[in-house]
Amino acid sequence: MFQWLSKSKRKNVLLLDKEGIVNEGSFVEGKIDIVLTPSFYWFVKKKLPVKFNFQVKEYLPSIFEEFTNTDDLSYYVIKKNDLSWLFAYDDKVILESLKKNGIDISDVDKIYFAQNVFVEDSAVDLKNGYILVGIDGVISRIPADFVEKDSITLSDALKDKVSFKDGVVLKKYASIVDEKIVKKIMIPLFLIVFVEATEALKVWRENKNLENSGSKIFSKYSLPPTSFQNQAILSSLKKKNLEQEKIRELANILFKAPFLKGEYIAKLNISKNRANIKIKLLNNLRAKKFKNYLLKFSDLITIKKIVVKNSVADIRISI
Amino acid sequence: MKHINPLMILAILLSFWIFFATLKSKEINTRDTLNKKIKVDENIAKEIVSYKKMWENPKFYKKNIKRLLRNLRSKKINYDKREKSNTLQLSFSKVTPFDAKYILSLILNQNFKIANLNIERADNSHLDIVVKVEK
Repeated sequence: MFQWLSKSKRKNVLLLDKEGIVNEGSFVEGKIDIVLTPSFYWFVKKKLPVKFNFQVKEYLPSIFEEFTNTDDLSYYVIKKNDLSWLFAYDDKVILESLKKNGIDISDVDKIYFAQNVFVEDSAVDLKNGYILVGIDGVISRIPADFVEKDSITLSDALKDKVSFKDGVVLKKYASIVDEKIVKKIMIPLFLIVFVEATEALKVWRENKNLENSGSKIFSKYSLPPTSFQNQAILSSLKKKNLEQEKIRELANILFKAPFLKGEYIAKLNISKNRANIKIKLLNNLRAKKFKNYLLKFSDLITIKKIVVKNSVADIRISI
Repeated sequence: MKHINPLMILAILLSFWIFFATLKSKEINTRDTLNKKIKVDENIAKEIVSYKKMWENPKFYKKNIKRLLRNLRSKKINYDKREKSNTLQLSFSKVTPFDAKYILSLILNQNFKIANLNIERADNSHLDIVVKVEK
């Protein structure tokens, strides 16, 4: 791996040039900061009629279109007094170069521009036939033969720097997903989210209304407020209704019994859940027939006891 | 100038989608449950009202008792009436089987809450009837 350390406190720093990594120094564990030579970015200093950096955004493509195709470029803006320092770079190109040089993007912390790292009055020898030199306040990468000035090494150029300012983070997804496709997906997705949110809110409101109307049902009928209380009332009323229906059905069964001439009900007492009947029959054997008749209604009545004596059947029934 | 990662926005939108879709389905379930509960409660209330009308209606009871006694008087059937706070007892002594049938049909065909019904043979051609009715 290419690691370079200029000072023990600082992270690993690599200078990335189109020709490859400018590699000096030693290795420490941890993340890497990458300094880009001007071969990876375009730089413009301009006085723009804006107050905030974000207002520059709309002008950026038109500013850089004279240098390159601006379709896939990312931009970075720094305000320096009255001037705006404008950077344009292609994430894909940098990512590919990092990959080519064996650097895993997940090991990279931030990317810095040489413009923000190196001082204007020194010439830094990249040892690959090029030199970084400041011309009119712009750090440029020019062939070493064109520079007469004495150059310094990369270690010397960075030795007093503990940390860098104004780093950018690369759009790592750029290699996986096209930003335009992502943006195209976003619009319908936003609409779906909006529709889902509206529907959820609508159903939530409906539920609130249902809760209100639900709580008013029992009061509308002048009943206790809870379902539990009303279920208890209903079950007691149902029980009462069933008792009364059974009394009537038993009376009906007895009055419609197939008596022979000379047979009759001598005594009948019906209360809510039981009945005592005394029946005068022609003979004791008739009691069995009468019992069979009563057993036809076993779903309604239960014969608890039947005693036959002197042609009188004494029957106890539970209902 | 900070770059906002579109993938991050996409992830946020997806999270919102999942959140609102879950919320919507939860609210729809709640709505269904509430609708069912309202239906059940409405039915309970209606059933209570109809049962109360049948068995716990003082106006209805008074009206029917009056009608019953008027009918008995019109048929010249003698009765003994004993009234307590909660119950009314009607006793018929030595009525003919024909009258007994009429009395029982009057009582059993109306929604009187019968607490006790006692029929006893008085002699060869007469019956004693005692009916206790809850008010």
